[in-house]
Amino acid sequence: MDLIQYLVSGISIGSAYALIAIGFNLIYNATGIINFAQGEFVMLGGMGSVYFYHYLHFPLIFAILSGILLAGVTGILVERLSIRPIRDASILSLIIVTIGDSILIRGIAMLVWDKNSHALPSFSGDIPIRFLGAAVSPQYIWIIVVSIISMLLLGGFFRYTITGKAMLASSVDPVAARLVGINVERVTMYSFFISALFSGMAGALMTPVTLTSYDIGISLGLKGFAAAVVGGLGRMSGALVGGIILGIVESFSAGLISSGYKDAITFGLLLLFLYMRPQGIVGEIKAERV
Amino acid sequence: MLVVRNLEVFYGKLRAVKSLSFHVNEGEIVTIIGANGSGKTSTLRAISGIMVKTRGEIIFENERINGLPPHVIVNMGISHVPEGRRLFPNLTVRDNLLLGAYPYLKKNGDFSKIVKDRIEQVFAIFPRLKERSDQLAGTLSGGEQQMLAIGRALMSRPRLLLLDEPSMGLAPVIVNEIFKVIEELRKDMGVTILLVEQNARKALEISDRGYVLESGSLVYSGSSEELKKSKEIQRAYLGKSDFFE
Repeated sequence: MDLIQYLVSGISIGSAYALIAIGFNLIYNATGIINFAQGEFVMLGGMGSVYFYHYLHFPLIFAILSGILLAGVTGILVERLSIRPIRDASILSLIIVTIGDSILIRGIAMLVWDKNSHALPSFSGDIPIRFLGAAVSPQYIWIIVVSIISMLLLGGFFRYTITGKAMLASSVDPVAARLVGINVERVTMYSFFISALFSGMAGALMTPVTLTSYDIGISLGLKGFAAAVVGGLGRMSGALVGGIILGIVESFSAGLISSGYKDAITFGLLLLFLYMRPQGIVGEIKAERV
Repeated sequence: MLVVRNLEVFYGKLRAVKSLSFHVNEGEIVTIIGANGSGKTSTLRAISGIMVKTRGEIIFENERINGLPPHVIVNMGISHVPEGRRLFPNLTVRDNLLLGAYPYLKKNGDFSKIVKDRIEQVFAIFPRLKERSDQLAGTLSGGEQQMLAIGRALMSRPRLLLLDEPSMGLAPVIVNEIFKVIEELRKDMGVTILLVEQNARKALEISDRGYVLESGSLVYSGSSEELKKSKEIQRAYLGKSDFFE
């Protein structure tokens, strides 16, 4: 059954997109910035894992965790070195700075590593699992399970920890957050760290399926951005909805039409939402107070 | 307790407060009155550290505090109930209170018993908040929001409470209730209060001393009794005119 296969791979890739979209949302909520360097965190998660596994010969699981951590640390560096020093600049300037960050990180990755595509072994072998008549690669299941667990953990973090609540508070009203004694700069740094971790995780999870290279962040970053917009920018539940929809649409259009068109269809969907429903699927229209 | 000397506060190049000096003694309720744009709010924002462009000196318990970040100032014992209340509308009443104790929680681990006791104390002052403890703060009425804003500020156990326009936008009955609570806070919890109000009559009723600001400068100061008797203040701020007398 091809359709089942498309569906499973769509949900799987879609949940990775959702992780990237969550990364966009975390930084957007903390600072109002669309972070154009988000895709580079994805790339670092993948390329980092490859580096730690193939060149430093870490066991696979440690290589992946190190790759994700590399992305997370880079997230902190981006915030400390390029965002915080000019925190009072306009949002547009900050967004342009993130474009600079993305070019810089990509350039460093190219110089330190190389321009080739790299693979990682699947986490638990390549023998397909039979599922409703379809043959599903086990890596797809890994992607879905790990994504869902980490999203649940993030939800619990916001709901049950004081730091999570402080992040929510800082995103709605940074001044009030300062007044109750929250160190908003510190909280913003946490947001960048978690955001980069999630995106790096997406990169590491997808590498066995899609391969990775120094410049893969451009397209994966855009996919994650599209998922965030389709779901509703800033909404965590939206990231999941948007990611899954995008993944399924992409997978079916690749399977039923042609894989050459899948990106065009994805970004067509992004444009459609930007025109027709800019607040996204789960978003509400915000009344602007003047 | 609080001494302010030659304070100047800037918004960009605009000077919102000009060479302002005043003080608040421990245990006092002191009011700053003045029209819109007279620099009252800027003064409070300078004290709590969210206005960074200041000149002059702000001294709290013999320590200079200007230039310190707001979270450090909160830790020293100053809590600020901002203009317009500024709750976290997407969080519940209880979570808003919890975040009021953020520095304490950070230091002592999440959700300690002491914080729970503090929340109960706030509920004792404002029983209506207890009924609404699991409701989102954004769904409260104006009066309840003001209560929550004060309650949140009390969670850090301040010794000095800065209150910015607590009567704003509230029905007279609620205003009376809020002012009664402010008086009780001093009596029962020993909190010193610096109050900023446009409702000068109400504010002077509960305070010991007052300062009057006009376009950023201090124009009068004195005991609340003196201020209430002054003809000019009656005309300008208490809404009494000679016309009918």
